[in-house]
Amino acid sequence: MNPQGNREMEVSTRIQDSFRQKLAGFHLENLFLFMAFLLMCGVFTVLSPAFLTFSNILNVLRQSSIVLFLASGQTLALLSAGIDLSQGSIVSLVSVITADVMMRGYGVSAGILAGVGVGTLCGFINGLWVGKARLNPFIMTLGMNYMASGVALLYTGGDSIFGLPKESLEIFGWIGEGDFCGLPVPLILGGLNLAIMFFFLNHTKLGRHIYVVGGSEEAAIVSGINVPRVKVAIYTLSGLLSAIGGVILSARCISGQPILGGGTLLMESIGATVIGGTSLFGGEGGVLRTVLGVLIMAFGVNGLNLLATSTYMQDMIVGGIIIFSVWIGILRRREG
Amino acid sequence: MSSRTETVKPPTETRKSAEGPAWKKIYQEIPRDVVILLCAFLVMCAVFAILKPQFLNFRNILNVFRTTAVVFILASGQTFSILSAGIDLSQGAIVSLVSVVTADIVIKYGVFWGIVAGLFAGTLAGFITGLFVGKARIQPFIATMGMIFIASGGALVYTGGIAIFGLDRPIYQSFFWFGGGYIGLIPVPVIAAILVGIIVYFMMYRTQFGRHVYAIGGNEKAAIMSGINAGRTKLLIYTFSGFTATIGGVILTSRILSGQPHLGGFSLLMDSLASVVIGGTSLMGGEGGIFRTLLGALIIGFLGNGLNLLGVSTFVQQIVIGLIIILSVWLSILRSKRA
Repeated sequence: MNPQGNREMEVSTRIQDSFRQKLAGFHLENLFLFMAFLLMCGVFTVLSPAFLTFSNILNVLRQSSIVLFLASGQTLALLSAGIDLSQGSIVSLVSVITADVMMRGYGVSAGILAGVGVGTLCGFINGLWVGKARLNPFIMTLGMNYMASGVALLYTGGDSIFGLPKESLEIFGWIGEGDFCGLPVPLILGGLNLAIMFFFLNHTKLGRHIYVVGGSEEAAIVSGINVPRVKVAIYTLSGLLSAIGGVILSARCISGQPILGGGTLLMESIGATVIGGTSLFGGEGGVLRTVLGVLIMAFGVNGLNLLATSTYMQDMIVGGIIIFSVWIGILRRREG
Repeated sequence: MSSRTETVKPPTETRKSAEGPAWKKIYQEIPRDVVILLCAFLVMCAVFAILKPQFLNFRNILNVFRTTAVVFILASGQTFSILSAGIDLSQGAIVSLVSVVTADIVIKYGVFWGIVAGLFAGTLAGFITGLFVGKARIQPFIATMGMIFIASGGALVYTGGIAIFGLDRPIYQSFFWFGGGYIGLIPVPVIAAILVGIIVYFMMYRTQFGRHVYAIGGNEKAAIMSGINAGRTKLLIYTFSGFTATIGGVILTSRILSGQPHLGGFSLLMDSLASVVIGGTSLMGGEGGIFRTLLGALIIGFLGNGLNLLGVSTFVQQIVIGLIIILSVWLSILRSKRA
C-alpha cells in the first residue's frame, strides 16, 4: 500500500536484525567465555584459599603479560587467515641480542632497541615473503622459526649469557620484576599493549583492512585494498610484539637464553588466541577475546598448580581446553 | 569446440608415440619441479661426495637410510593429511606416547604384547584426532595441536616424567631387531619404510580412499556435493597418520632401547612436515604425492648427514633447513606464476 513506508520498515528491521546479530555474535560469545572464566576462578577459590589473594593474582598477571604480547601479534596473523610460527624463535633471538648488547656495555636502552629492532626485522622479512612473494604464511614462518633459532644458537655458540653489567641490571630487572605505582611493570606494559591493539584493530583503516583480508582476500583485492602491504604490516607487527615479549621475558630471567622461546611459548600464544575464539579461517575475533584466552590459560594453570596437579596433567588439560573451546564455537555456529 | 580438441590432441599423441620409448613417456609425465628437485638432490650429493669421500661409504649411506626411514614413515602419513588440506601436528607427541607404552608393556608382558599395546595406543590417539577433525569438524591445526598437549602430557603422566630403561637385557633381544636388525644387508627400518611406502602408494593411487583425499583437498565442498563422505575420509586420514607415527615410535624405541617421554619432540614433527613440504606437496591440499615426500625425506636426511660430515654445526644446519623450506616453496610459486 505504501511502498515507501514498507521499505523504511524493511530497512529498519534489517538494521535491527544486523544489530541483534552483532550483539548476539559479539556479546554472547564473549559473555559465555567470560562466564566460563569466572566459574573456573570460583571453583579454584573454593578449592584453594591461596587462589584469590592479591599477590597471587598480581603474579599471574605479571607472567601472563608476556603471552599476551605474543598472542596479540598472533591474533593479527590469525585474523588475516595466516599464522606466525616464528614467534618462539624470535623471542630467543631477541633475548640473546638484547643481553649481548648490554654485556658489551652499551646500556639498557641500546640493548632493548637492538633486540626489538632485530625481532621486528624478522617479522618484516616474514611479511615481505608472505605479502609480496605470496608464500604460504605457515611455510614462511616455519622456515623463519628454523632460521631465527639457528641464528640465536649460533650467536652465542649455544651458551646462555649470564652476569649482565651492574648498571644495566637494575633498570633491566625492573622491567621484568619491578613495580610502578603498586602494579607490576609487565602488567602495565600489557595493559598499554591491549589498549593500543584495541584501538588499532577497531578504529584505524589498517586494522579494519586486516579483518577484510581475513574475511575474503579476493573481496579485499577487488575493493582496492593493498593486500600485500597489509600482510607486511601484520607480520612486522607480530615480530615487534614478539620482540617486546622477548625483552620482558629476558628481563624476568635477567639473562640471554638462546632457547628461551623454544618450549611451549608458541603453543601458548596460538592456544590462547584460539581459546579466545579468534578463528583460524580469518576475519573473526579480536584482541579482547585473546585477552580472555590468555587469562583463562594463565589462571587455569595457576589454579591447577595451587591444587598441586602435576605439570604433565596440566598439559593434558590445556590440550583438552583448546579442543573443546573451539568445538563449542563450532557447535554454536552450526546452531545459529 | 570438439573439433578444436580433436585438432589439438592427435599431434601431441603422435609426437609422443612417434618418439616412442617407454621411459620417455614416463619422463614426460613427471612434473618439471620434481625433476629439478631430483637434480638438486643429485648435485648436493655430488658436492658432498667430492668434499668428503666418506659420504659415499656404503655404511654411511645405509645409516642415513636407516634414520631417514623413520622420518619417511611419519611423513607418508603426514602426506595424506596435507593432501586433504589439513595437517597433523600430533605425530611427534604420538611417538613419545608410543615409546613409553611400548617400553613399559614389553618389560611387563613381553615383546609381542608391548608392540601390540604401542600400536594400539598410538593408533587410538590418531583415531581420536580423526574423530575431532572428521566428526566434530574442528580444524585439523587445532585438533592436532590439542592432541600434542594431550598425548605428550599422557606420555609424561604415564612414566611420571622419567625414562623407562631396562630393555637392553638379552631376553628382549628380539625387540632390538625392529630398530637395529638387518634382513640380508638391509636394515629392518628401511624395509619397514619400503613396505609403508608401497602401502601408501596403493592407498593413494589405487583406492577410492586416495581419490577422495585428493578430491577433499582440491575442493571440499565440491567433494561433499559429489557424495564423498568427507567426515569418514578424514577419520581414516588421521587414524592412518597416527598409525604411521606409531610405527615410527616403535622403531625409534627399539633403536634406543628405552621408553622416552620426550622421544618425539618438536624436531621429529618438523622433519616430517618439512619432508612433505620440500617435496612440493601443497599445504593448500589436492596437489602432491608420496614420491615427492620420499624425495623430501631423502634431501633432509642426506643434507643433515653431509653437513655433519663437513663439521658444520647443527645451529647452522637449522638455518640451512629453514632456507631450503622457504626456497623450495618459493621456487614452485615462481614457476607456477610463469606457467
